[in-house]
Amino acid sequence: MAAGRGAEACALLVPAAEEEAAENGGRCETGVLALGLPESGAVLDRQASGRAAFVELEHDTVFLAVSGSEWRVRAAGCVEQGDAPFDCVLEGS
Amino acid sequence: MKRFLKENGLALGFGLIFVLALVGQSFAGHAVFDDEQVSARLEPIGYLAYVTSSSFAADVAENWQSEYLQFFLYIGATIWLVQRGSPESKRPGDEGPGSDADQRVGRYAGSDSPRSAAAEGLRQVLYVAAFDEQQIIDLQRPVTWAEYLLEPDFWNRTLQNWQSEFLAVGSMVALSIYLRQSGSPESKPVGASHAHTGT
Repeated sequence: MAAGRGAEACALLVPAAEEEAAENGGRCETGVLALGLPESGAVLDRQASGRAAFVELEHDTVFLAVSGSEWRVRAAGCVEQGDAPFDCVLEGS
Repeated sequence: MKRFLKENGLALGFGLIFVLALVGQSFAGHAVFDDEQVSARLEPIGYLAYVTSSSFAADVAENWQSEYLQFFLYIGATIWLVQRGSPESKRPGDEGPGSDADQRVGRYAGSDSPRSAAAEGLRQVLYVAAFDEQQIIDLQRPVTWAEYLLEPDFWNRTLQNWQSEFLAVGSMVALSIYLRQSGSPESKPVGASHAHTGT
């Protein structure tokens, strides 16, 4: 993300998140960079359950969805809100 | 071999229908999983990936604990608690762990199953409600009762319950050959031989 590789970042998103990012800048490639998502850093914790996974990174928390044999990012830039759902900068549901 | 099959038909029969229901559940569950993937515009996953996923494991084992809890709780509770008028209960005054020579126990093994089956109607109400909720969340049209019977979700949930009930009843039949619980009308007398059959 810091290297400005928006297209590569978009390739990791679920279709709904890709569209969400595109709304921010006309195209996903530019929109995803304009969101100002935090740098990820090291993986602190990860939990996969069925079709969904939760990954806690040093500077970010992301939610993944299984797609075929891969995991795609469903939500990123997520901040915990107590018992309420995480508040995410990018969210495709 | 023929004699073995004949003498163990009950446990083998339940073992067989358990496996058949489990296989049916795996196909229906995989179809449900991939339907949901397609709805979210994600790639479907393979059958092998599904049957080794925690989604399938959870669906398979979800009811096992409740089925066994049902049996063990009932066996334990009937040592100390009675219910006048119930054929499942000891007579009032017979409470406690003391030996009960009069108890006719073997015939009660697996008798919990029909009561579970009687709850099936209520479960299906819950199933269609849960299914419709998911349909609406996914921006899809909810289904009618008739349409729901054709949905893999219905068969996934139904066979999920059937296989767990078959497994529980079948294994209780087998375990009751070797295990005893004094004071419980669900067990044969402690001193009865392993070969002792019926009540």
